[in-house]
Amino acid sequence: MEKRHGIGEGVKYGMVIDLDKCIGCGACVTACVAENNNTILEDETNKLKSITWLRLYKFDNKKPYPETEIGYLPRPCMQCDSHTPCVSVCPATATDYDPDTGIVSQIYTRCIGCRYCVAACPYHVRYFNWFDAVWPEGTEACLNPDVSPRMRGCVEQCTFCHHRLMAAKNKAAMNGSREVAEMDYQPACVEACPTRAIVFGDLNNSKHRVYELKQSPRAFRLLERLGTQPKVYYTTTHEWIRGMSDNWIDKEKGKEKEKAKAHS
Amino acid sequence: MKLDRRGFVKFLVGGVVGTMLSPIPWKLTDDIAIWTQNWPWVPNPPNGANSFKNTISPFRGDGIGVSVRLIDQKRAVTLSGVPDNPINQGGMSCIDLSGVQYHYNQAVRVKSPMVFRDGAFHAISWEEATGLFIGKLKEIRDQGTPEKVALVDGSGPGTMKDLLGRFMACYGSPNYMSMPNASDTEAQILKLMYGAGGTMGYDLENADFIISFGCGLLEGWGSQRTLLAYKDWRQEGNRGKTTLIQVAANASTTSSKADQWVAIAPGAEGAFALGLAHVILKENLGNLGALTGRAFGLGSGVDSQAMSFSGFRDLVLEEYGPDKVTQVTGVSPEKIQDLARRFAKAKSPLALPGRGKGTMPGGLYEFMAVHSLNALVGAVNRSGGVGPVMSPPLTSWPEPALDSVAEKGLRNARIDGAGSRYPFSSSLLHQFADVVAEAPKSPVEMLVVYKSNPAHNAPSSKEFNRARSKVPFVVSFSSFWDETTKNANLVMPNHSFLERWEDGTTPAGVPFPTYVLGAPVLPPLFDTRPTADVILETTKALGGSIATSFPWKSYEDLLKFRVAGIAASQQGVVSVPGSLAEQQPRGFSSAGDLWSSLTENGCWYDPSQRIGKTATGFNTPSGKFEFYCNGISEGLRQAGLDPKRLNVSVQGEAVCMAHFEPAEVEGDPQRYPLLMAPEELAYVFEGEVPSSPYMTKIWPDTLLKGNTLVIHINPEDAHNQHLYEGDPVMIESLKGSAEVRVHLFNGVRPGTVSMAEGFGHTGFDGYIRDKGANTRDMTTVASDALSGMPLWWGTRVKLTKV
Amino acid sequence: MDSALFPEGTKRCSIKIFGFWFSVWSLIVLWGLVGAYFCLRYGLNKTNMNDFFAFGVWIVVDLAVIALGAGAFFTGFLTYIIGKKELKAIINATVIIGFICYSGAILMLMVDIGQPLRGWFGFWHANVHSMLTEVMFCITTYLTVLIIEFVPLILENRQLDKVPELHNFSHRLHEIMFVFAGVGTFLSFFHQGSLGGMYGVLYARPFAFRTGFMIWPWTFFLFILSAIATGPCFTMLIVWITQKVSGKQLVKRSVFNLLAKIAGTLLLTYVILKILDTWYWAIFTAPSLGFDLMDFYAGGPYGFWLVILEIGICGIVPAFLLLSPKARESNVVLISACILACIGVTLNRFVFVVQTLAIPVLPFEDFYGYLPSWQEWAISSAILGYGGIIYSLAYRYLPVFPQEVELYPENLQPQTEG
Repeated sequence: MEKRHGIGEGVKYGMVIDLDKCIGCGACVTACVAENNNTILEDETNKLKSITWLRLYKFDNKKPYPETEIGYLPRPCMQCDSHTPCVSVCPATATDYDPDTGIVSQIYTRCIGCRYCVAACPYHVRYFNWFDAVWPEGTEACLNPDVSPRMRGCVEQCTFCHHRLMAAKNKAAMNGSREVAEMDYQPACVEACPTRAIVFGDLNNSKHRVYELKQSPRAFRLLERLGTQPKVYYTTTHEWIRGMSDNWIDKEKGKEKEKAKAHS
Repeated sequence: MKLDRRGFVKFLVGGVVGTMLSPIPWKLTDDIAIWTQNWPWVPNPPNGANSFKNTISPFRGDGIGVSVRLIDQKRAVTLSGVPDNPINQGGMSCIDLSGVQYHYNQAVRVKSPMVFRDGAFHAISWEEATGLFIGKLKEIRDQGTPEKVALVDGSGPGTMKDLLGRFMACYGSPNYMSMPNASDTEAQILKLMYGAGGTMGYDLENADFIISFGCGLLEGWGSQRTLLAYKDWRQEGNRGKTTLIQVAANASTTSSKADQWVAIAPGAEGAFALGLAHVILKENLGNLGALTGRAFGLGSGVDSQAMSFSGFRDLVLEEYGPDKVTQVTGVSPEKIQDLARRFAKAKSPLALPGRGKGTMPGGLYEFMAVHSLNALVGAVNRSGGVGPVMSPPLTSWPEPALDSVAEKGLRNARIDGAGSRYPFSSSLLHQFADVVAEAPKSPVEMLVVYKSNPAHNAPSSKEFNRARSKVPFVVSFSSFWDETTKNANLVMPNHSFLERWEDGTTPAGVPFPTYVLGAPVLPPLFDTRPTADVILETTKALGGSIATSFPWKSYEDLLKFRVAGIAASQQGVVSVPGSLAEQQPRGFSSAGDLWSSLTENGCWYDPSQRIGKTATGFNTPSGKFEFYCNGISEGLRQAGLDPKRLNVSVQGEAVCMAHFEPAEVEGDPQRYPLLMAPEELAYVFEGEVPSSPYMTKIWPDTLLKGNTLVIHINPEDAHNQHLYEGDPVMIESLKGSAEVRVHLFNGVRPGTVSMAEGFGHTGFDGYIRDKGANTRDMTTVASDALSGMPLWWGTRVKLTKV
Repeated sequence: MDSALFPEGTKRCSIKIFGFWFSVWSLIVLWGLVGAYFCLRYGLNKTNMNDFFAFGVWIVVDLAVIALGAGAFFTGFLTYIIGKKELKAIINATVIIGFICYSGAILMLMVDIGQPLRGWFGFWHANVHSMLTEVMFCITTYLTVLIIEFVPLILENRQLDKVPELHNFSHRLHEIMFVFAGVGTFLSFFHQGSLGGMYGVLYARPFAFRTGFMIWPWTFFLFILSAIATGPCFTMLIVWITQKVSGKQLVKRSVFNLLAKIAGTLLLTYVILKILDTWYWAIFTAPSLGFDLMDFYAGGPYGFWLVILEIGICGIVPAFLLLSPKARESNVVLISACILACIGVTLNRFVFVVQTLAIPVLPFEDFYGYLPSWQEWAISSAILGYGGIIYSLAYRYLPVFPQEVELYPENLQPQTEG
């Protein structure tokens, strides 16, 4: 547990998503799709082939009526910090981890489409373009020029709206600064969230809100024990969501609960 | 030269080696790789200079501020929230984020005026279209029967709604209808219990104990501002300060995110509220002291009709003891008691009526019960409570001039019975549909539809479509090929929201008056015209008193006229960039100043008029908050209705007070053993437009699978019917049936089926068309006792395995 | 008609029968080409692969044929490096099979990757940390080695051999063949191991992930062992089929015996190590990642029976059958054991490719099944057709089995011109 908050060194962008505040309204998903020019299939219910950089998971606690509870979990790319699964496997160096920001990026034009990274990622954040890029008739006009549409046959994933970081860096440079201000670089999902459930910033910068939030005793990360060191944290007061998020084996549930209690 | 075998081999080997040594293969592979990066069929969005323009998003009718990102000032790419708009503070909803996609979608936009002739739509010119429209209006009016024109308006509160209402009145038809909404019931409550106009405000931010009677607070109830309040409740450091209790039959997002979910029998919300009132009155909890001299009908008295009554306290104490309420609601007496005590002891308790997103009107008595409960705990007109919110001080409309034709026409009773058979309602679309559908000859010659799609989402779309097919001439002003438009005779497409002027007054639930204004952001993409201007043009063409009632040159002109009133009042402030952050919004010096900051930033609001900040009286007959509504007894008398012969389960004084009206759901429980509850979801939209292609990405596959809707049933019911996860079933009610799949979900109350609204479209494009089934094709709509409002929260259904 | 091309001292069927035989294989290839056209023209949405099953039947077939093709390098190793001269009787066959398997796998990969035209980026922009890069390098280089090994055989065609330069060239190649056998063995050890590593390193995939010693060298060697154990089995199987189809004995029974003994020993070693690996993984690795062993077999069609089938029925059983001198005396037993071993290794590769991906790691995900589309089947079977064509042509026109002449001296007739 000591290393829990040890995320690299220098600037490491990350998120803290408050699942108690998240109401599953899907604004983040919509904002993401619009910002990042995700292609849209006529049948998006085929979750196995559709592209959703930010996917909203809906689940429940499986308890009988009326103890049933619904939970939502927005899942962007976890931007794993340690031995990033997708980066290490890519044979063509099309996936890259930027040590200066901690952001995992994808060079679409270099990707050969072998999908090894798709297999390597446990969070299912990596999407292969099974289809040619399609949008509803005429709506190509509202594609974002900052993000190039992808060609069929390559893999893509959430980049924390990396193009916005570029813009913010430019802005900072124009002002003669080298540091990007916290609010100058915010991904589209963060901006759209009506309950401000998603907070974004530099995890290593004590002046940024995420720095404080990630240290909450209620904070956790998805599949933490795999050791991927995601830079996306979640917080919740709902114990069952916490337990679900790391595949607690039945016999562990009691133990972890005690630990969590001792912690808070 | 003959190539011998040896020569051939030499040639072959030499050729291969030579080629590999030459740059040809390397250059070629490189070129090929570059080609794969620039496939001509992958769009390449042109870049350009960025600029931002603010406007308001019209889809949810809550006037949230959106900032449109433009490339080279001509291409709108993305939308984001305006941070200093007090309604959303930068937050967005998925439908609002889809605005540009609707704007550009060629497949769903109506690109020019269209007329339906000889079995097909034909593009026509605007001259021809307005000519047809005006000609028809003139023709009907010349026959002296202006009441034969009916209009369905789906716009939210704002100038357009007023304009259309005024136009109908001046034309001479009483048959102006709005799409049903919980605000309709709220308006009746305001009138009967508070004696007020304006809108009902709920000060969620300052309340500390909230009981929501089925409101989908997190599914889209009220405005985006509701979510801002929720954000505050869940803010680190605020935890535990505000308690949210959700009273509902099924596990919804709100019930799961609430501090406590009280699972209740469907339709028993009113009884539950009265059960709480019983405990409060019995144990003398409440804040009854605050009511001294400010409430009418809590104890015994005499009403304005000189009828004596024993009052609300006795009614509740006698009729709504925990045991009886338990029977109706299925909630244990202990739970009722505990909740009542916690509620009454809270500093700022607040009870909220209304189901789902508030697109369905509520039962009048049910709402009265909840408002009575609020009054008992002193929540009325208190910070953190509930109360009427004054309309923004827009210039009031000049008295309309009515000629004799108009006067005569307006004397006719409305087709839907609002104001006559149902004296407390102003518009009842489902009654209209029933009457027209049943009549041998349509009492309506022309039906005009604006910013709504009743063919898909009228309470019972089946009935509406039956009625619509009888109307000889249907006019749609829709920008989109929705179901209503596809069945219209004349389509006069409106500009998209990025191309037109749009405004809005205080949205549902917001605790202070607001006014938002959005200016056009882009030039029109197609041959469309703003409906407001078409209406103004029509008034000029119709001439006479109609023309004089509409002296404005254009809609912009009219909006300026309206906004001048706010400027003259010198009340309130306008939001300016950063105003919320700094808590220093700005006043305005002149009408021009106000106008320009409104068009730039979009929002005026008046925090000084917040609930509880101003002393507000009650403009009821008693001058007090009325537990016993004089308005009801007066209204009934004026309408000549005998209280004994009403469709109300009680008699005597209880007719004028909150009480529990048992649910009347059509259908034989033996044949239709389950109750279908339409479920409104935050990520499914149903209104002027359906969910956007963007939004289809949000949907879990427990909502829609391929083209089949997934309904949710309790595993217990599934077990009884031998149904397993994913089984295809036929869901059938008295009105209709559909093939769906089942998802076993513990959160659905045994005996009920939860079915998502907003599907089963036959209009629009392949991203939404033919997906799922429309609940409204299946609903049996009940008319609320007394108000006649449509209620469709429960429909008896049966499931059969396919 | 084409008898002039037949290897010296052999009899082959008529061109008509061969034509029919040939067209059957060609039809399969044609079907595969149609499938490939769909996938290349319209994209991989024509397959039933998806973002869960990023790898499908193609990769299973790829891994399986690469394992089964291991007979080539391993026999080469035994023949040229260890000096088991008896195996010269089948070395040609193993080279052809190896060539078919490896080239087939690469051809299929060209359809499998989303951007075939950029396939060479793996070399150009190589990521040295990726197991796949290693596999790509080794497989392509090894294919070159296989081609070099195959070329002399082609040049031994009766007519080509008449060209003195070619004859000479082929002879020279033969002389240094041990070098290539060595290089081939070296490369193959690498990529067979790396193929195992490809899955073993997926630390976010608890089903495949192995920790520490269990990945290197354990998993690497498990893959190598399984390949060199089953490769010879596959060779035996193919040679046996050739014998059945051609109706004559091509290789002496002693060669089979020797191969069976070697394969059996290796298979037994493999199975023991595999059981240890499974045990360690079930007891330590998986629980540390949040999974009970049976979690992996709880949902969907991939139940625990797969383990019993793979390790028990297709592992332990053939190992003992091959090792028992009495049992392997019987052709039926020997070939059944070979078939079981080949199924076993295919199953092993299937489990690593498909089951690894099928098991939901993210708790919000469900278990999904995967069934290939017709295009995937078509392209997979095209490898079979392609193999059939190459192998048949080789058998008909090249002196694949040196013992054939020895076994059928009556065919060795004085040369007649024309």
